[in-house]
Amino acid sequence: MMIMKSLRSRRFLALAAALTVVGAGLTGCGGSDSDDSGASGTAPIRALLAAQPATLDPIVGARSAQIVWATMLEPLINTGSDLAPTNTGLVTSWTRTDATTWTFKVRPDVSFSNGEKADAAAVANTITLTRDSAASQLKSYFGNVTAIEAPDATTVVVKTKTPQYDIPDLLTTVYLVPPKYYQEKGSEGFAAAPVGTGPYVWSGANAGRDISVKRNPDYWGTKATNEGVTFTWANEAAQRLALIQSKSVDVSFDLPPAQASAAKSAGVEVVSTETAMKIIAFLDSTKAPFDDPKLREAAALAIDRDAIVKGIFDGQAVADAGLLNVKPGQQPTQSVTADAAKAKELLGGATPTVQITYPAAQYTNIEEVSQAVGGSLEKAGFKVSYVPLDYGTLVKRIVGRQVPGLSIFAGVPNVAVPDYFVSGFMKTKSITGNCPDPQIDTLAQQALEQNDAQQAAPLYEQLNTIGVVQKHCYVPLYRQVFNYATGPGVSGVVFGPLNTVDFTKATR
Amino acid sequence: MKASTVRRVGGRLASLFASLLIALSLAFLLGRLSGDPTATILGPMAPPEQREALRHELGLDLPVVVQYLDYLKGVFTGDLGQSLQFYQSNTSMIADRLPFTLQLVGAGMALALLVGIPLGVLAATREGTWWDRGASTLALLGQSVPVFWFGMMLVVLFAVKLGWLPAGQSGSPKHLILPALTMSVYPMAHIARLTRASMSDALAEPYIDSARARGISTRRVVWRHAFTNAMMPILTIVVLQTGILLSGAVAVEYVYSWPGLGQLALQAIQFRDFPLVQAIVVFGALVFVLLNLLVDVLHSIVDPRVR
Repeated sequence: MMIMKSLRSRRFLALAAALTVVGAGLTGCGGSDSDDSGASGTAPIRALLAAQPATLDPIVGARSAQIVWATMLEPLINTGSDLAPTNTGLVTSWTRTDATTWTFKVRPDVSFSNGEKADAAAVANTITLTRDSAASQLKSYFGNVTAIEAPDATTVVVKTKTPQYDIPDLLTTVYLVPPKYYQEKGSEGFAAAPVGTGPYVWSGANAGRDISVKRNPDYWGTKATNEGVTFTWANEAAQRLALIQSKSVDVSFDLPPAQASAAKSAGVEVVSTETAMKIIAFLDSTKAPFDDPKLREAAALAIDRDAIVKGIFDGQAVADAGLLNVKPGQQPTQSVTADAAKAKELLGGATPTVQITYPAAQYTNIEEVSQAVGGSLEKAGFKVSYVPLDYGTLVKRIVGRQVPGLSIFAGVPNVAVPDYFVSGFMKTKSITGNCPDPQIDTLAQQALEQNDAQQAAPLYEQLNTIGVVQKHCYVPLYRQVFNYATGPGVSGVVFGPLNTVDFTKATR
Repeated sequence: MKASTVRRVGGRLASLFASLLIALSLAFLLGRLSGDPTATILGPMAPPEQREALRHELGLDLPVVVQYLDYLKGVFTGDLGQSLQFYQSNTSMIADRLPFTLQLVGAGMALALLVGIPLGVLAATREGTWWDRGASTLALLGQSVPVFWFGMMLVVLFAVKLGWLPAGQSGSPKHLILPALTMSVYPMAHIARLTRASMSDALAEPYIDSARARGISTRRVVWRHAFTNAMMPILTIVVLQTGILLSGAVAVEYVYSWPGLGQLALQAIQFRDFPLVQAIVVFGALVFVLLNLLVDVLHSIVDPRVR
């Protein structure tokens, strides 16, 4: 009866009132109010991401978290605006000693923020971790690397089984980690407080809420203009728009087309950048119906990428005619132009059945794109069925060669080298394996064995022509455009096509 | 304690344990149906050998029965596994996020009580009047309006247009206002309707007439006599609604980027991080089972007939 008494009438309401006050009070204990929009100049930049970054360990972490860890950690080799390797980073020069040996020179006198030396041994350790860790995101890139040595403090020697011209390119996405600290802390410990050589150092994190980095006063290069960056996140695109509109953040990343348009209409500055992410339709030439070359050609001619871009994306994507043109703005010399009449003619009145498989809700407007591709095929005479799958299942089925017909998904290169797509999608033993051809395998190997990208370029053009124009195994559709909005007075945020952001010159 | 009471308590505990086991099993099965997590961890370009090696490392190549037994063993020894995307212990991640969800649910439920109960009492004591119709309409609206839409409207009005309150995220008491208000709408309406019905019944009882005949003031009759007796169903629904809110704050946390368990669950689902999804489901099921137990205990204390 005691409980009964205590719960009586208005005491019950008083308890509710007390709960409200306690709730509000607890919230206050959670940290400071981040709405400090009145700050200016060198104050920390408040960056809003689309999702909480997964692990900040660059060895095993998905590249979506690169925006955060790249403030503290640096790639072994920097890239220029053309996405080609430059000598401005930790590795300052490289030479190909012989066909299978690369010698890299490491910038002297650079240290990690914890005092460890960022020397050749650290570089060799990072490449080894990248090649050997079971969960390494880039493990497959380094399968051809047989030896990694650091003969002295500034020299790293990398040997490959067969000649490979793009090793320096691959090192542009490998981020240097301090050997002792990484070993001592392990992946989880490192991700909880990353240590690098970059322009910012770890400042702290509130679980699930934010991650902060502050200016590294001992940075070896040009120091950051601002005091730091605080990253927060909001999954809902409308929230990201509302937070930038209400000046709660300085920069809001990853605005889908609808929110980008709404932001522009509301007078918010929106920057749109063509990314290296390509959406491609893959035709499986090993199974019916596309084991018939005539049907592949008919499908390739039926699909109108320009109409898709215009009709669905309203300028928020760029029509893409090639498979191996990895750099934004690049187009192949030969391509397929949509021709619905010719596609119909090739079918000659037949109505072959095609299954379209796509990763539901994985990419912006992917449902509409799949419907548009299906609509074009139906117009030509194909009978179409749709199979939306979750991303994990789709990849599993593709790897298991269980996706007949046409599948649509994205290629998101971490480095701007054509071999990324050749090894991933074109070779007989590639992930998709939808276009097995000994000629492609031979050309792919020949291209890698060239001295440099320039020499390899004609071979990649030839490969593109075989895959896209002659065999019609691939129907490139478009490149995604990435939008981000900046608040009033915010400047200097630079977004790169390979999901990198330079905050060092940003002010507000 | 009487043998029949022991039997009843034992039976109740067994049924709660069975509910928990069913929830755990469903969470496990759904996790296994959600596609290959190695595709998300390693990306689509990883070769099959690497994918297989990782499956082996994660124990995904073991027979499903073995995985299930390992999972149950982990749950009952307090080990909820490790997240596939964050590489952190799921238990510590839930512990980090739980205070935020508790704040939100606490504030939302308090608002629901503060408004819902007086609204229900008002409607019951003025049955058939415009007060009653107004309160009932408000309650109906509260139960019909989609939380997601309502939240977005509040953001547009109070954060974007008026600039009075933050559009989302957390950090200060101001950040709690809109999410708590959004969170409170459904339970508030539910409590108001239930209070009205319960109070109407209580006010029709002969002891109320008797109290009035003895000259006791209307206020005292309503709150001390009628409300006290009408409180049991309200108390039950409050406890159960709290459980629902605790495990179902996803929409509100999503709309406001509130860093609670719902947001964590959503991200885990998007990444196909099934150990984390399972851990959150287990936690939700456990909370619900415990709250059900609490309702039973409260019932037996308050009402001797159910002892």
